Amino acid sequence: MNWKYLTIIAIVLISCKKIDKLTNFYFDISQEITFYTGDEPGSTIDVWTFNVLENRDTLYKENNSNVYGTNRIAISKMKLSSSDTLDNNMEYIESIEVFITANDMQEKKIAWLDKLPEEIKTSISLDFSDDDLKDYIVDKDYAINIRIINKSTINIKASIDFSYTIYINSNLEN
Amino acid sequence: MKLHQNNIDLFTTLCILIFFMAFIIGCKKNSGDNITNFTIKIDSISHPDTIFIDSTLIIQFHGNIGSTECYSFYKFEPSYTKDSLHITSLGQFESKQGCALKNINLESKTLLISNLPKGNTNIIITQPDSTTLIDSVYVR
Repeated sequence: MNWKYLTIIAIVLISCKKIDKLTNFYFDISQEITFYTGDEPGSTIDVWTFNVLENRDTLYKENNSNVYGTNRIAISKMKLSSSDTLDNNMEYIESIEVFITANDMQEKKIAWLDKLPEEIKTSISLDFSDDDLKDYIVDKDYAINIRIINKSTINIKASIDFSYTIYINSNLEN
Repeated sequence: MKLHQNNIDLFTTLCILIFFMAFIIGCKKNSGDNITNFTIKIDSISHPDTIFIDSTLIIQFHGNIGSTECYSFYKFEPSYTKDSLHITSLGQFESKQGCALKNINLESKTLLISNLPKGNTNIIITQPDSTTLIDSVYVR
C-alpha cells in the first residue's frame, strides 16, 4: 500500500519537474497594408505577407529556449484596425479569410470573419482556429494570405493595420 | 427472434446509408472533374519601380485568360525566396456545354505584397511554357 502512495507522489513530482522546464511566451506581429478597394462588389483584395518571423532565433533566445524545443504554436489574437487618417471605418469589407502557407505545406485557413458586425468600428477582431501551427512556423519561412471580399462600389484608398499574437509553448534550454 | 429482426433492420439501414454516401461522393467527384486549373500567360505587369519600406507593393496583371465564358481567374500563387518574389497566376476552365464566346481578361487583377525587405527584389512571373517574365522593385 505504501509503495502505491510513493509511486503516485513520485509521478506527481516528476510531472512538476517537467512543467518547470516548459515556457510559454507570446509574440506580437503587426503589419500596415495600403490598397485600393476597387469598385466591384464581390472582388477579392488579395494581400500576401512574407518574411514574417525573421528574428525567430532571437525571440527564442530571449525566452531561454530554442526552436527545436517547440511543443506548440497557436494564434492567440488577431485583428484588423483602420489606420486611415481619414474617417474610414472599413465599411468596404464584406468578409475576411486569413490563410497560412509554408514550403511543402498545404494552405491552412487560420482566421475568418464571415460577416462584419452591423455597427462597424475602426477595429475588428477575427475568429481564429486553435490549431497547432508548429509545422508552419517553427523552422519555415511562412507566408500569410489575407483575402478581403470587397463590397464597395467606389474605389477608395484604404489602410489597415493587420496584427496578431502567436503563443509559443517550448522547452526551456538547460 | 426479435433480436435477429433488429439486426436485419440495422443492416438494411446501413446499406441504404452507404448507397447514399457513395452516390453523393460520386456526384461531387464528377462535378470536380469538370474543372481544370492552368497557368495564365501574363502579357505584362505594372507596379511602382520603388516603394518605401513598410509600404505595400501593388502589382497589376494584364493578359488573356481564355476565349469563352468557361474560363475564369482562380488565384495567385506567390512565394518568396531571398531577393525574389515568384508568382504564378492560375486560371480555371470548366468543361460544360453552352459557353458563350467572350474574351476573358485579367483586367488589371491586383496582388498586394507587404513586408518586403530593403533593397532590390526580383519579381519572377511563371508562364505556361515554363519561361519567366522578370521585373524588379526597389525597396528603400
